[in-house]
Amino acid sequence: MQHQTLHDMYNKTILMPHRCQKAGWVIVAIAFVIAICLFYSIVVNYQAEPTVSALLTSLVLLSATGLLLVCFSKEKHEDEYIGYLRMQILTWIIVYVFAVTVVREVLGFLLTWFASMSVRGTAMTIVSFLPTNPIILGIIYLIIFKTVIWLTKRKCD
Amino acid sequence: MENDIRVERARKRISQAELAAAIGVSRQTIFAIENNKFIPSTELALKLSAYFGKTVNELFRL
Repeated sequence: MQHQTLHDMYNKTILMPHRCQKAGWVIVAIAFVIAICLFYSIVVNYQAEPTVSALLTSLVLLSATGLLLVCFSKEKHEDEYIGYLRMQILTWIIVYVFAVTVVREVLGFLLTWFASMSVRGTAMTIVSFLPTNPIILGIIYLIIFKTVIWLTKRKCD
Repeated sequence: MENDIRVERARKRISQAELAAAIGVSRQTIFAIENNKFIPSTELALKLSAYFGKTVNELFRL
């Protein structure tokens, strides 16, 4: 049997090649432009439903694809330390999701008793949808991951 | 776990970047190991010890 190093094993992970990260950033940038158009359509122009719906669908699709490519493609020097960072951040994100689930349940219970219908509806929409949305989780992961790498690089210099 | 990588690197008069290139890892990895923020795998520890001509026990200690 051929000798397999840890480096070889790590390279067989589901991470995509580094070039996918560049493509991902381009897609994220396009999604950002669409987000601005969507905001403009809803708040400023009061566009009709089909336009808003088409923009929203493309925003979700592009941001999800772009974030997936950016978050899970290899860094220029992908090694075991970067892998360790990825695992640490993903662990914290799972802890965060569980914590949000608990807070959501407690808040939902309290709001049922103490808040009016309109306040409860708005609060529950924000609490139940936004914090554990995969796109939000991708953004959180990306911000923490890139910040830690940037800080370590800066300390090296 | 503590290590003497910074000391050995200074003794050999090489930079973090040079050591990283020789071992095949990023500069951040060497920085993280030197500052005890990351414990390397057995494979990386063996590579480091071979590079400095020391045993793993001489380079790393509990």
